[in-house]
Amino acid sequence: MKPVVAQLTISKIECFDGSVYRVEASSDTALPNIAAGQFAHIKVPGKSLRRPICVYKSDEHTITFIVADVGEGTHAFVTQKAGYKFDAILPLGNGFPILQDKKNIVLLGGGTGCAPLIKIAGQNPSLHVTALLGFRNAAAMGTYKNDFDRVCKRVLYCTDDGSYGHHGFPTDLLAEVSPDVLYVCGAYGMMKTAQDYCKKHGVTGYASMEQRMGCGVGACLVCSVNIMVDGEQKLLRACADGPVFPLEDIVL
Amino acid sequence: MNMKTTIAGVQFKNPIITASGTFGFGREYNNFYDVGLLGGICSKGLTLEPRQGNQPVRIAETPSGMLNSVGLQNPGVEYFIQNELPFMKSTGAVVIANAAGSCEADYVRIVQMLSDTDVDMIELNISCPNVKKGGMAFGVDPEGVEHIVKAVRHVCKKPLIVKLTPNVADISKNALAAQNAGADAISLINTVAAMAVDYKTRRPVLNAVTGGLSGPAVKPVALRMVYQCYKAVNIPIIGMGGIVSGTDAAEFMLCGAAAVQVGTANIFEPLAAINILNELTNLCEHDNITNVQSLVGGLRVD
Ligand SMILES: Cc1cc2nc3c(=O)[nH]c(=O)nc-3n(C[C@H](O)[C@H](O)[C@H](O)COP(=O)(O)OP(=O)(O)OC[C@H]3O[C@@H](n4cnc5c(N)ncnc54)[C@H](O)[C@@H]3O)c2cc1C
Ligand SMILES: Cc1cc2nc3c(=O)[nH]c(=O)nc-3n(C[C@H](O)[C@H](O)[C@H](O)COP(=O)(O)O)c2cc1C
Ligand code: FES
Repeated sequence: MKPVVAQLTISKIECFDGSVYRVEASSDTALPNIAAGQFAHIKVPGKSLRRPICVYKSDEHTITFIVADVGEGTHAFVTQKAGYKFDAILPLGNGFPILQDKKNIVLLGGGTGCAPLIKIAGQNPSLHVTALLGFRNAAAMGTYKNDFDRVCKRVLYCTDDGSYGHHGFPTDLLAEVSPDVLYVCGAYGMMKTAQDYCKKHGVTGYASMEQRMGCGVGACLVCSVNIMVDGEQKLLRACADGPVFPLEDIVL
Repeated sequence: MNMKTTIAGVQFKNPIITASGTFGFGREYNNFYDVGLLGGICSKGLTLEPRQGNQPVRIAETPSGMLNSVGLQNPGVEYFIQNELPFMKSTGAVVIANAAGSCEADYVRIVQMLSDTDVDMIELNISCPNVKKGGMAFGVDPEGVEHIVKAVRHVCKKPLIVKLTPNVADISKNALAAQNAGADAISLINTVAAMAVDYKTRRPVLNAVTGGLSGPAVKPVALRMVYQCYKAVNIPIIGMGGIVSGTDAAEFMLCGAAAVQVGTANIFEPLAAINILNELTNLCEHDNITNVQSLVGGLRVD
Protein backbone atom coordinates (compact mmCIF):
# COMPACT_ATOMS: atom_id res chain seq x y z
CA MET A 1 0.00 0.00 0.00
CA LYS A 2 1.53 3.31 -1.09
CA PRO A 3 1.49 6.01 1.57
CA VAL A 4 -0.64 9.11 1.10
CA VAL A 5 -0.80 12.51 2.75
CA ALA A 6 -4.16 12.28 4.50
CA GLN A 7 -6.08 15.40 5.51
CA LEU A 8 -7.57 14.72 8.92
CA THR A 9 -9.86 16.57 11.33
CA ILE A 10 -9.96 15.82 15.05
CA SER A 11 -13.47 14.68 15.91
CA LYS A 12 -12.95 13.78 19.56
CA ILE A 13 -10.12 14.05 22.02
CA GLU A 14 -10.23 12.45 25.45
CA CYS A 15 -7.83 12.14 28.35
CA PHE A 16 -8.24 9.77 31.26
CA ASP A 17 -5.07 10.10 33.28
CA GLY A 18 -3.78 13.61 32.63
CA SER A 19 -1.07 12.66 30.16
CA VAL A 20 -2.22 10.13 27.57
CA TYR A 21 -4.79 11.19 25.00
CA ARG A 22 -7.14 9.26 22.79
CA VAL A 23 -7.45 11.24 19.58
CA GLU A 24 -10.13 10.35 17.06
CA ALA A 25 -9.96 11.97 13.65
CA SER A 26 -11.96 11.80 10.46
CA SER A 27 -11.07 11.95 6.79
CA ASP A 28 -13.40 13.03 4.00
CA THR A 29 -11.61 10.87 1.46
CA ALA A 30 -11.32 7.13 2.04
CA LEU A 31 -8.26 6.12 4.06
CA PRO A 32 -6.07 3.26 2.85
CA ASN A 33 -5.97 -0.06 4.70
CA ILE A 34 -3.59 0.17 7.62
CA ALA A 35 -1.96 -2.94 9.06
CA ALA A 36 -1.23 -3.59 12.73
CA GLY A 37 2.02 -1.87 13.69
CA GLN A 38 2.06 0.65 10.86
CA PHE A 39 2.32 4.30 11.78
CA ALA A 40 1.32 7.78 10.69
CA HIS A 41 3.77 10.67 10.44
CA ILE A 42 1.80 13.54 11.90
CA LYS A 43 2.20 17.27 11.37
CA VAL A 44 1.91 18.92 14.79
CA PRO A 45 1.41 22.64 15.46
CA GLY A 46 4.52 24.80 15.52
CA LYS A 47 7.00 22.09 14.50
CA SER A 48 8.70 21.41 11.20
CA LEU A 49 9.51 17.74 11.75
CA ARG A 50 6.56 15.40 11.88
CA ARG A 51 5.90 13.08 14.83
CA PRO A 52 5.57 9.32 14.27
CA ILE A 53 2.47 7.88 15.99
CA CYS A 54 1.17 4.39 15.39
CA VAL A 55 -2.32 3.83 14.17
CA TYR A 56 -4.47 2.40 16.94
CA LYS A 57 -7.66 1.89 15.00
CA SER A 58 -8.84 2.88 11.57
CA ASP A 59 -11.55 2.29 9.04
CA GLU A 60 -12.47 4.04 5.81
CA HIS A 61 -13.18 7.45 7.27
CA THR A 62 -11.99 7.44 10.88
CA ILE A 63 -8.68 6.88 12.59
CA THR A 64 -7.70 6.79 16.26
CA PHE A 65 -4.34 7.54 17.84
CA ILE A 66 -3.19 7.10 21.42
CA VAL A 67 -0.82 9.97 22.13
CA ALA A 68 1.26 10.57 25.24
CA ASP A 69 2.03 14.21 26.04
CA VAL A 70 5.80 13.91 26.47
CA GLY A 71 7.29 16.98 24.81
CA GLU A 72 6.63 20.16 22.85
CA GLY A 73 5.32 18.50 19.71
CA THR A 74 2.94 16.02 21.28
CA HIS A 75 1.81 18.66 23.78
CA ALA A 76 0.91 21.10 21.01
CA PHE A 77 -1.04 18.31 19.28
CA VAL A 78 -3.03 16.96 22.22
CA THR A 79 -4.06 20.43 23.37
CA GLN A 80 -5.98 20.97 20.12
CA LYS A 81 -9.76 20.74 20.13
CA ALA A 82 -12.30 18.88 18.01
CA GLY A 83 -12.38 20.51 14.56
CA TYR A 84 -8.60 20.95 14.40
CA LYS A 85 -7.29 20.05 10.95
CA PHE A 86 -3.90 18.43 10.37
CA ASP A 87 -2.21 16.16 7.88
CA ALA A 88 -0.50 12.83 8.30
CA ILE A 89 1.52 10.62 5.98
CA LEU A 90 0.12 7.10 6.23
CA PRO A 91 0.35 4.17 6.34
CA LEU A 92 4.10 3.91 6.94
CA GLY A 93 6.47 1.12 7.86
CA ASN A 94 6.11 -2.63 8.03
CA GLY A 95 3.54 -3.91 10.50
CA PHE A 96 3.47 -7.11 12.52
CA PRO A 97 3.58 -10.29 10.42
CA ILE A 98 0.52 -12.40 11.21
CA LEU A 99 1.30 -16.10 11.55
CA GLN A 100 -2.01 -17.84 10.93
CA ASP A 101 -0.69 -21.28 11.88
CA LYS A 102 0.28 -20.29 15.44
CA LYS A 103 -2.22 -21.17 18.14
CA ASN A 104 -1.43 -19.11 21.18
CA ILE A 105 -0.84 -15.48 20.23
CA VAL A 106 0.25 -13.10 22.98
CA LEU A 107 0.35 -9.31 22.85
CA LEU A 108 2.71 -7.69 25.32
CA GLY A 109 2.28 -3.94 25.66
CA GLY A 110 3.16 -1.18 28.07
CA GLY A 111 1.42 2.20 28.23
CA THR A 112 1.17 3.81 24.79
CA GLY A 113 2.98 0.71 23.52
CA CYS A 114 -0.31 -1.15 23.74
CA ALA A 115 -1.66 0.92 20.85
CA PRO A 116 0.00 -0.77 17.83
CA LEU A 117 -0.97 -4.23 19.09
CA ILE A 118 -4.75 -4.05 19.08
CA LYS A 119 -5.14 -4.37 15.31
CA ILE A 120 -3.44 -7.78 15.48
CA ALA A 121 -6.48 -9.09 17.32
CA GLY A 122 -9.00 -6.73 15.72
CA GLN A 123 -8.07 -7.66 12.15
CA ASN A 124 -7.73 -11.41 12.80
CA PRO A 125 -10.79 -12.60 14.73
CA SER A 126 -9.92 -16.25 14.09
CA LEU A 127 -6.69 -16.03 16.11
CA HIS A 128 -6.56 -16.98 19.76
CA VAL A 129 -5.12 -13.81 21.26
CA THR A 130 -4.17 -13.12 24.86
CA ALA A 131 -3.10 -9.60 25.84
CA LEU A 132 -0.73 -8.76 28.68
CA LEU A 133 -1.02 -5.04 29.20
CA GLY A 134 0.91 -2.91 31.65
CA PHE A 135 0.06 0.57 32.93
CA ARG A 136 1.23 3.00 35.57
CA ASN A 137 -2.14 2.90 37.27
CA ALA A 138 -5.82 2.15 36.69
CA ALA A 139 -6.51 5.64 35.31
CA ALA A 140 -3.98 5.11 32.50
CA MET A 141 -5.80 1.90 31.52
CA GLY A 142 -8.92 3.93 30.84
CA THR A 143 -7.42 5.32 27.63
CA TYR A 144 -8.12 1.98 25.96
CA LYS A 145 -11.64 1.65 27.40
CA ASN A 146 -12.60 -2.02 27.01
CA ASP A 147 -11.28 -2.25 23.44
CA PHE A 148 -8.87 -5.10 24.15
CA ASP A 149 -11.52 -7.12 26.01
CA ARG A 150 -13.73 -6.91 22.94
CA VAL A 151 -11.21 -8.36 20.47
CA CYS A 152 -8.97 -10.62 22.59
CA LYS A 153 -9.83 -14.01 24.07
CA ARG A 154 -8.21 -13.04 27.33
CA VAL A 155 -6.76 -9.80 28.75
CA LEU A 156 -4.50 -9.63 31.78
CA TYR A 157 -4.05 -6.11 33.12
CA CYS A 158 -1.07 -5.10 35.22
CA THR A 159 -0.38 -1.87 37.05
CA ASP A 160 2.85 -0.53 38.52
CA ASP A 161 1.03 0.68 41.64
CA GLY A 162 -1.30 -2.29 42.04
CA SER A 163 -4.41 -0.15 41.60
CA TYR A 164 -5.83 -2.72 39.16
CA GLY A 165 -5.04 -6.29 38.14
CA HIS A 166 -1.64 -7.82 38.64
CA HIS A 167 0.64 -5.65 40.77
CA GLY A 168 3.81 -5.66 38.66
CA PHE A 169 5.00 -6.00 35.08
CA PRO A 170 3.12 -7.83 32.32
CA THR A 171 6.33 -9.74 31.57
CA ASP A 172 5.82 -11.43 35.00
CA LEU A 173 2.90 -13.30 33.40
CA LEU A 174 4.67 -14.62 30.29
CA ALA A 175 5.30 -18.06 31.81
CA GLU A 176 1.66 -18.35 32.81
CA VAL A 177 0.34 -17.76 29.27
CA SER A 178 3.23 -19.55 27.45
CA PRO A 179 2.94 -17.92 24.00
CA ASP A 180 3.67 -19.56 20.64
CA VAL A 181 4.24 -16.11 19.20
CA LEU A 182 4.77 -12.86 21.03
CA TYR A 183 4.17 -9.30 19.80
CA VAL A 184 5.83 -6.62 21.88
CA CYS A 185 5.76 -2.85 22.14
CA GLY A 186 6.97 -1.06 25.22
CA ALA A 187 9.89 0.30 27.15
CA TYR A 188 13.44 -1.02 26.91
CA GLY A 189 13.10 -3.21 30.00
CA MET A 190 10.00 -4.94 28.67
CA MET A 191 11.64 -5.62 25.31
CA LYS A 192 14.75 -6.97 26.96
CA THR A 193 12.83 -9.33 29.23
CA ALA A 194 10.65 -10.45 26.32
CA GLN A 195 13.71 -11.06 24.15
CA ASP A 196 15.35 -13.18 26.86
CA TYR A 197 12.13 -15.13 27.33
CA CYS A 198 11.75 -15.83 23.60
CA LYS A 199 15.38 -16.87 23.22
CA LYS A 200 15.14 -19.21 26.19
CA HIS A 201 11.89 -20.85 25.13
CA GLY A 202 12.33 -20.76 21.36
CA VAL A 203 9.31 -18.50 20.92
CA THR A 204 8.86 -16.38 17.79
CA GLY A 205 8.68 -12.72 18.70
CA TYR A 206 8.26 -9.37 16.98
CA ALA A 207 8.74 -5.94 18.47
CA SER A 208 8.05 -2.40 17.33
CA MET A 209 11.02 -0.05 17.70
CA GLU A 210 11.13 3.69 18.25
CA GLN A 211 13.70 6.06 16.86
CA ARG A 212 13.78 9.77 16.12
CA MET A 213 12.67 10.28 12.56
CA GLY A 214 12.97 12.79 9.76
CA CYS A 215 11.13 11.97 6.56
CA GLY A 216 9.42 8.83 7.87
CA VAL A 217 9.38 7.35 4.36
CA GLY A 218 12.86 5.85 4.06
CA ALA A 219 14.76 8.60 2.24
CA CYS A 220 16.88 10.50 4.76
CA LEU A 221 18.52 7.70 6.79
CA VAL A 222 18.35 9.44 10.17
CA CYS A 223 16.17 6.86 11.93
CA SER A 224 18.64 3.98 12.19
CA VAL A 225 18.32 1.18 14.69
CA ASN A 226 20.82 -1.63 15.31
CA ILE A 227 19.56 -4.95 13.94
CA MET A 228 21.34 -8.27 13.37
CA VAL A 229 21.20 -9.33 9.71
CA ASP A 230 22.77 -12.70 8.85
CA GLY A 231 24.91 -12.56 11.96
CA GLU A 232 26.12 -9.02 11.32
CA GLN A 233 25.04 -5.89 13.17
CA LYS A 234 23.51 -3.42 10.72
CA LEU A 235 21.93 0.00 10.95
CA LEU A 236 18.46 -0.29 9.45
CA ARG A 237 15.77 2.35 9.01
CA ALA A 238 13.13 2.23 11.72
CA CYS A 239 10.66 3.92 9.37
CA ALA A 240 10.97 1.79 6.25
CA ASP A 241 12.73 -1.44 7.29
CA GLY A 242 10.75 -1.42 10.56
CA PRO A 243 9.38 -0.26 12.87
CA VAL A 244 8.58 -3.94 13.50
CA PHE A 245 11.56 -6.30 13.58
CA PRO A 246 12.01 -9.94 14.67
CA LEU A 247 12.63 -9.69 18.40
CA GLU A 248 15.69 -11.94 18.30
CA ASP A 249 17.43 -9.66 15.77
CA ILE A 250 17.07 -6.45 17.74
CA VAL A 251 20.29 -5.28 19.40
CA LEU A 252 19.21 -4.04 22.83
CA MET B 1 6.67 30.22 -20.12
CA ASN B 2 10.21 28.90 -20.28
CA MET B 3 11.38 27.13 -17.14
CA LYS B 4 14.36 25.47 -18.83
CA THR B 5 17.82 25.74 -17.37
CA THR B 6 21.11 24.66 -18.84
CA ILE B 7 24.07 23.93 -16.60
CA ALA B 8 27.39 22.88 -18.08
CA GLY B 9 25.64 21.80 -21.25
CA VAL B 10 23.08 19.67 -19.43
CA GLN B 11 19.47 20.69 -20.02
CA PHE B 12 17.04 20.69 -17.10
CA LYS B 13 13.26 20.94 -17.63
CA ASN B 14 13.20 23.40 -14.78
CA PRO B 15 15.60 24.67 -12.11
CA ILE B 16 14.32 22.50 -9.22
CA ILE B 17 16.66 19.69 -8.16
CA THR B 18 16.46 17.56 -5.02
CA ALA B 19 19.44 17.79 -2.67
CA SER B 20 21.74 14.92 -1.82
CA GLY B 21 20.87 12.87 1.25
CA THR B 22 17.30 14.08 1.59
CA PHE B 23 15.72 12.20 -1.28
CA GLY B 24 17.23 8.71 -1.16
CA PHE B 25 17.55 7.59 -4.77
CA GLY B 26 14.15 9.02 -5.64
CA ARG B 27 12.09 5.88 -5.11
CA GLU B 28 10.32 6.89 -1.91
CA TYR B 29 9.05 10.21 -3.22
CA ASN B 30 8.02 8.69 -6.51
CA ASN B 31 5.24 7.09 -4.45
CA PHE B 32 3.85 10.57 -3.83
CA TYR B 33 4.31 12.20 -7.25
CA ASP B 34 6.13 11.69 -10.54
CA VAL B 35 9.66 12.81 -9.64
CA GLY B 36 10.39 12.93 -13.37
CA LEU B 37 8.58 16.28 -13.35
CA LEU B 38 11.49 17.79 -11.44
CA GLY B 39 14.50 19.32 -13.16
CA GLY B 40 16.91 16.94 -11.51
CA ILE B 41 17.43 14.45 -8.71
CA CYS B 42 20.63 13.95 -6.78
CA SER B 43 21.75 10.72 -5.14
CA LYS B 44 22.77 10.24 -1.53
CA GLY B 45 26.53 10.82 -1.03
CA LEU B 46 28.29 7.77 -2.47
CA THR B 47 31.55 6.26 -1.30
CA LEU B 48 33.74 3.56 -2.81
CA GLU B 49 32.78 1.00 -0.16
CA PRO B 50 29.38 0.70 1.55
CA ARG B 51 29.16 2.77 4.75
CA GLN B 52 26.96 2.19 7.79
CA GLY B 53 27.15 5.77 9.03
CA ASN B 54 27.06 7.01 12.61
CA GLN B 55 25.24 5.47 15.54
CA PRO B 56 21.85 7.01 16.36
CA VAL B 57 20.58 9.51 17.50
CA ARG B 58 21.18 11.15 14.14
CA ILE B 59 18.59 13.93 14.05
CA ALA B 60 17.50 16.85 16.20
CA GLU B 61 14.89 19.48 15.52
CA THR B 62 16.05 23.05 16.04
CA PRO B 63 14.22 26.36 15.57
CA SER B 64 13.32 26.54 11.86
CA GLY B 65 15.63 23.69 10.98
CA MET B 66 17.22 20.41 11.91
CA LEU B 67 20.57 18.81 12.59
CA ASN B 68 21.68 15.54 11.08
CA SER B 69 24.66 13.32 11.67
CA VAL B 70 23.96 10.47 9.27
CA GLY B 71 27.64 10.09 8.42
CA LEU B 72 27.31 9.22 4.74
CA GLN B 73 25.46 5.93 5.15
CA ASN B 74 25.25 4.51 1.62
CA PRO B 75 25.39 1.17 -0.20
CA GLY B 76 28.61 2.00 -2.06
CA VAL B 77 29.09 3.20 -5.62
CA GLU B 78 28.99 -0.24 -7.24
CA TYR B 79 25.65 -1.11 -5.71
CA PHE B 80 24.39 2.31 -6.74
CA ILE B 81 25.39 1.78 -10.35
CA GLN B 82 23.80 -1.67 -10.48
CA ASN B 83 20.64 -1.13 -8.47
CA GLU B 84 19.72 2.52 -8.06
CA LEU B 85 20.97 4.38 -11.10
CA PRO B 86 18.69 2.56 -13.57
CA PHE B 87 15.67 3.63 -11.54
CA MET B 88 16.88 7.22 -11.24
CA LYS B 89 17.47 7.39 -15.00
CA SER B 90 14.04 5.94 -15.70
CA THR B 91 12.35 8.90 -14.02
CA GLY B 92 13.37 11.27 -16.81
CA ALA B 93 14.86 13.87 -14.47
CA VAL B 94 18.52 14.85 -14.83
CA VAL B 95 20.48 12.46 -12.60
CA ILE B 96 23.28 13.80 -10.46
CA ALA B 97 25.52 11.41 -8.53
CA ASN B 98 26.94 12.87 -5.31
CA ALA B 99 30.44 11.48 -4.72
CA ALA B 100 32.35 11.52 -1.45
CA GLY B 101 35.63 10.05 -0.32
CA SER B 102 38.14 10.04 2.47
CA CYS B 103 41.30 10.35 0.39
CA GLU B 104 42.31 11.54 -3.05
CA ALA B 105 42.58 8.03 -4.46
CA ASP B 106 38.99 7.29 -3.39
CA TYR B 107 37.67 10.43 -5.04
CA VAL B 108 39.52 9.67 -8.26
CA ARG B 109 38.34 6.05 -8.35
CA ILE B 110 34.71 6.83 -7.63
CA VAL B 111 34.60 9.57 -10.25
CA GLN B 112 36.20 7.20 -12.76
CA MET B 113 33.56 4.61 -12.04
CA LEU B 114 30.69 7.09 -12.32
CA SER B 115 32.16 8.49 -15.53
CA ASP B 116 31.57 5.14 -17.23
CA THR B 117 27.85 5.13 -16.44
CA ASP B 118 24.94 7.14 -17.77
CA VAL B 119 24.71 9.56 -14.82
CA ASP B 120 24.25 13.03 -16.24
CA MET B 121 26.45 14.93 -13.80
CA ILE B 122 28.73 14.33 -10.86
CA GLU B 123 28.54 16.46 -7.73
CA LEU B 124 31.77 16.30 -5.78
CA ASN B 125 31.01 16.40 -2.08
CA ILE B 126 34.10 17.88 -0.47
CA SER B 127 32.04 19.28 2.31
CA CYS B 128 30.45 16.61 4.50
CA PRO B 129 30.74 17.67 8.14
CA ASN B 130 29.53 14.33 9.48
CA VAL B 131 32.45 12.09 8.75
CA LYS B 132 35.86 12.49 10.27
CA LYS B 133 37.43 12.38 6.83
CA GLY B 134 34.29 13.25 4.88
CA GLY B 135 36.15 15.30 2.38
CA MET B 136 35.97 18.34 4.63
CA ALA B 137 39.77 18.22 4.77
CA PHE B 138 39.77 19.04 1.03
CA GLY B 139 36.93 21.48 1.25
CA VAL B 140 38.13 23.96 3.84
CA ASP B 141 40.88 25.95 2.20
CA PRO B 142 41.26 27.05 -1.44
CA GLU B 143 44.48 25.02 -1.88
CA GLY B 144 42.72 21.84 -0.77
CA VAL B 145 39.78 22.54 -3.08
CA GLU B 146 42.02 23.20 -6.04
CA HIS B 147 44.08 20.09 -5.37
CA ILE B 148 41.20 17.63 -5.18
CA VAL B 149 39.20 19.16 -8.02
CA LYS B 150 42.27 19.04 -10.29
CA ALA B 151 42.88 15.40 -9.45
CA VAL B 152 39.28 14.49 -10.16
CA ARG B 153 38.96 16.67 -13.25
CA HIS B 154 41.67 14.61 -14.86
CA VAL B 155 39.52 11.47 -14.90
CA CYS B 156 36.02 12.99 -14.91
CA LYS B 157 34.18 12.54 -18.19
CA LYS B 158 30.95 14.06 -16.90
CA PRO B 159 30.05 17.65 -16.14
CA LEU B 160 31.53 18.26 -12.70
CA ILE B 161 29.76 20.17 -9.94
CA VAL B 162 31.80 20.97 -6.83
CA LYS B 163 29.72 21.24 -3.66
CA LEU B 164 31.08 23.75 -1.18
CA THR B 165 30.91 23.85 2.58
CA PRO B 166 29.83 27.00 4.40
CA ASN B 167 32.14 26.17 7.32
CA VAL B 168 35.00 28.27 5.97
CA ALA B 169 36.41 31.77 6.29
CA ASP B 170 35.69 32.99 2.74
CA ILE B 171 33.59 30.73 0.55
CA SER B 172 34.14 32.82 -2.57
CA LYS B 173 37.86 31.93 -2.50
CA ASN B 174 36.93 28.24 -2.51
CA ALA B 175 34.48 28.84 -5.33
CA LEU B 176 37.22 30.49 -7.36
CA ALA B 177 39.62 27.66 -6.57
CA ALA B 178 37.06 25.14 -7.84
CA GLN B 179 36.61 27.14 -11.03
CA ASN B 180 40.35 27.42 -11.59
CA ALA B 181 40.75 23.69 -11.15
CA GLY B 182 38.21 22.97 -13.84
CA ALA B 183 34.83 22.64 -12.13
CA ASP B 184 31.93 23.10 -14.55
CA ALA B 185 29.62 24.39 -11.82
CA ILE B 186 29.52 24.85 -8.06
CA SER B 187 26.74 24.04 -5.62
CA LEU B 188 26.27 25.49 -2.16
CA ILE B 189 25.68 25.29 0.71
CA ASN B 190 26.20 22.00 2.47
CA THR B 191 25.10 21.92 6.11
CA VAL B 192 26.43 24.29 8.76
CA ALA B 193 28.43 22.61 11.53
CA ALA B 194 26.30 22.84 14.66
CA MET B 195 25.11 21.02 17.78
CA ALA B 196 22.12 20.55 20.06
CA VAL B 197 22.20 19.98 23.80
CA ASP B 198 19.66 18.37 26.10
CA TYR B 199 19.86 20.35 29.31
CA LYS B 200 18.00 17.74 31.36
CA THR B 201 20.40 14.93 30.59
CA ARG B 202 23.38 17.25 30.14
CA ARG B 203 24.16 15.38 26.94
CA PRO B 204 24.41 16.31 23.29
CA VAL B 205 21.27 15.23 21.43
CA LEU B 206 23.26 13.68 18.58
CA ASN B 207 25.32 10.61 19.34
CA ALA B 208 28.06 12.08 17.14
CA VAL B 209 27.92 15.23 19.36
CA THR B 210 28.02 17.63 16.40
CA GLY B 211 26.09 17.54 13.16
CA GLY B 212 25.00 19.63 10.22
CA LEU B 213 22.31 22.31 10.40
CA SER B 214 19.91 22.63 7.47
CA GLY B 215 16.47 24.03 6.72
CA PRO B 216 15.09 27.59 6.80
CA ALA B 217 17.45 28.48 9.67
CA VAL B 218 20.41 28.49 7.25
CA LYS B 219 18.69 30.28 4.35
CA PRO B 220 20.03 33.78 5.11
CA VAL B 221 23.58 32.42 5.36
CA ALA B 222 23.14 30.47 2.12
CA LEU B 223 21.76 33.48 0.23
CA ARG B 224 24.72 35.59 1.31
CA MET B 225 27.15 32.91 0.20
CA VAL B 226 25.50 32.38 -3.20
CA TYR B 227 25.59 36.14 -3.70
CA GLN B 228 29.31 36.30 -2.85
CA CYS B 229 30.20 33.35 -5.06
CA TYR B 230 28.18 34.77 -7.96
CA LYS B 231 30.38 37.86 -7.84
CA ALA B 232 33.55 35.73 -7.70
CA VAL B 233 33.04 33.12 -10.44
CA ASN B 234 31.57 32.83 -13.92
CA ILE B 235 30.62 29.14 -13.88
CA PRO B 236 26.97 28.34 -13.03
CA ILE B 237 25.89 28.13 -9.39
CA ILE B 238 23.36 25.72 -7.92
CA GLY B 239 22.03 27.33 -4.75
CA MET B 240 20.52 25.65 -1.74
CA GLY B 241 19.93 25.99 1.97
CA GLY B 242 16.49 26.21 3.55
CA ILE B 243 14.40 26.48 0.41
CA VAL B 244 10.79 25.62 1.26
CA SER B 245 8.82 27.75 -1.24
CA GLY B 246 8.85 28.99 -4.80
CA THR B 247 9.69 32.46 -3.51
CA ASP B 248 12.70 31.07 -1.66
CA ALA B 249 13.88 29.49 -4.91
CA ALA B 250 13.43 32.80 -6.76
CA GLU B 251 15.45 34.61 -4.07
CA PHE B 252 18.39 32.24 -4.64
CA MET B 253 18.13 32.82 -8.37
CA LEU B 254 18.19 36.59 -7.88
CA CYS B 255 21.41 36.12 -5.91
CA GLY B 256 22.92 34.30 -8.85
CA ALA B 257 21.82 30.66 -8.72
CA ALA B 258 21.04 29.19 -12.14
CA ALA B 259 19.20 26.34 -10.43
CA VAL B 260 18.39 25.35 -6.86
CA GLN B 261 18.34 22.24 -4.75
CA VAL B 262 15.63 21.40 -2.26
CA GLY B 263 16.76 19.33 0.72
CA THR B 264 15.29 19.50 4.19
CA ALA B 265 11.92 20.64 2.83
CA ASN B 266 11.41 17.08 1.50
CA ILE B 267 11.91 15.74 4.99
CA PHE B 268 9.27 18.07 6.39
CA GLU B 269 6.80 17.56 3.55
CA PRO B 270 6.90 14.75 0.97
CA LEU B 271 5.39 16.94 -1.76
CA ALA B 272 7.79 19.84 -1.10
CA ALA B 273 9.90 19.71 -4.27
CA ILE B 274 6.95 19.48 -6.64
CA ASN B 275 5.07 22.16 -4.69
CA ILE B 276 8.10 24.46 -4.91
CA LEU B 277 8.28 23.87 -8.67
CA ASN B 278 4.59 24.72 -9.04
CA GLU B 279 4.96 27.80 -6.87
CA LEU B 280 7.95 29.02 -8.85
CA THR B 281 6.05 28.46 -12.10
CA ASN B 282 3.02 30.35 -10.77
CA LEU B 283 5.22 33.13 -9.47
CA CYS B 284 6.76 33.60 -12.92
CA GLU B 285 3.34 33.52 -14.57
CA HIS B 286 1.98 36.04 -12.10
CA ASP B 287 4.92 38.41 -12.52
CA ASN B 288 5.07 38.11 -16.34
CA ILE B 289 8.47 36.46 -16.24
CA THR B 290 8.59 34.61 -19.54
CA ASN B 291 11.98 33.00 -18.97
CA VAL B 292 12.87 31.87 -15.48
CA GLN B 293 16.55 32.37 -16.26
CA SER B 294 15.97 36.11 -16.37
CA LEU B 295 15.84 35.96 -12.58
CA VAL B 296 19.42 34.77 -12.33
CA GLY B 297 21.64 37.45 -10.83
CA GLY B 298 18.81 39.95 -11.07
CA LEU B 299 19.33 41.29 -7.58
CA ARG B 300 19.18 45.09 -7.50
CA VAL B 301 21.97 46.42 -5.36
CA ASP B 302 22.58 50.15 -5.51
C1 LIG C 1 6.98 4.07 14.88
C2 LIG C 1 6.66 4.89 16.10
C3 LIG C 1 5.38 4.83 16.62
C4 LIG C 1 5.05 5.60 17.73
N1 LIG C 1 3.78 5.52 18.22
C5 LIG C 1 3.43 6.29 19.27
C6 LIG C 1 2.08 6.24 19.76
O1 LIG C 1 1.23 5.53 19.25
N2 LIG C 1 1.78 7.03 20.81
C7 LIG C 1 2.69 7.85 21.39
O2 LIG C 1 2.34 8.57 22.34
N3 LIG C 1 3.97 7.91 20.96
C8 LIG C 1 4.35 7.14 19.91
N4 LIG C 1 5.67 7.21 19.45
C9 LIG C 1 6.60 8.11 20.11
C10 LIG C 1 6.37 9.55 19.62
O3 LIG C 1 6.77 9.65 18.28
C11 LIG C 1 7.19 10.55 20.47
O4 LIG C 1 6.73 10.53 21.79
C12 LIG C 1 7.08 11.97 19.91
O5 LIG C 1 7.73 12.07 18.67
C13 LIG C 1 7.66 12.99 20.88
O6 LIG C 1 7.59 14.28 20.31
P1 LIG C 1 7.63 15.57 21.24
O7 LIG C 1 7.84 16.75 20.37
O8 LIG C 1 6.44 15.61 22.11
O9 LIG C 1 8.88 15.29 22.19
P2 LIG C 1 10.34 15.89 22.17
O10 LIG C 1 11.14 15.07 23.08
O11 LIG C 1 10.31 17.36 22.37
O12 LIG C 1 10.77 15.58 20.68
C14 LIG C 1 12.02 15.97 20.15
C15 LIG C 1 12.29 15.18 18.90
O13 LIG C 1 12.56 13.82 19.21
C16 LIG C 1 11.62 12.96 18.64
N5 LIG C 1 11.25 11.92 19.62
C17 LIG C 1 11.20 12.09 20.97
N6 LIG C 1 10.84 10.93 21.56
C18 LIG C 1 10.68 10.02 20.57
C19 LIG C 1 10.32 8.63 20.55
N7 LIG C 1 10.05 7.95 21.65
N8 LIG C 1 10.25 8.02 19.35
C20 LIG C 1 10.50 8.69 18.20
N9 LIG C 1 10.85 10.00 18.17
C21 LIG C 1 10.93 10.65 19.34
C22 LIG C 1 10.46 13.84 18.25
O14 LIG C 1 9.70 13.31 17.17
C23 LIG C 1 11.15 15.12 17.90
O15 LIG C 1 11.68 15.06 16.61
C24 LIG C 1 6.02 6.44 18.34
C25 LIG C 1 7.31 6.49 17.82
C26 LIG C 1 7.64 5.73 16.70
C27 LIG C 1 9.01 5.79 16.15
C1 LIG D 1 19.59 14.17 6.35
C2 LIG D 1 20.53 14.88 5.43
C3 LIG D 1 21.50 14.16 4.73
C4 LIG D 1 22.38 14.80 3.86
N1 LIG D 1 23.30 14.05 3.17
C5 LIG D 1 24.11 14.67 2.25
C6 LIG D 1 25.01 13.91 1.45
O1 LIG D 1 25.07 12.68 1.52
N2 LIG D 1 25.81 14.57 0.57
C7 LIG D 1 25.77 15.95 0.43
O2 LIG D 1 26.49 16.51 -0.39
N3 LIG D 1 24.90 16.68 1.17
C8 LIG D 1 24.08 16.09 2.08
N4 LIG D 1 23.20 16.84 2.82
C9 LIG D 1 23.17 18.30 2.64
C10 LIG D 1 22.05 18.74 1.69
O3 LIG D 1 22.22 18.16 0.42
C11 LIG D 1 22.02 20.28 1.58
O4 LIG D 1 23.27 20.72 1.09
C12 LIG D 1 21.78 20.98 2.90
O5 LIG D 1 20.90 20.23 3.71
C13 LIG D 1 21.22 22.40 2.74
O6 LIG D 1 19.99 22.43 2.04
P1 LIG D 1 18.54 22.34 2.76
O7 LIG D 1 18.50 23.38 3.84
O8 LIG D 1 17.54 22.58 1.66
O9 LIG D 1 18.44 20.99 3.31
C14 LIG D 1 22.31 16.20 3.70
C15 LIG D 1 21.33 16.93 4.40
C16 LIG D 1 20.45 16.30 5.25
C17 LIG D 1 19.43 17.11 5.97
S1 FES E 1 13.03 8.88 8.88
FE1 FES E 1 13.96 9.29 6.94
S2 FES E 1 14.72 7.29 6.48
FE2 FES E 1 13.62 6.91 8.29
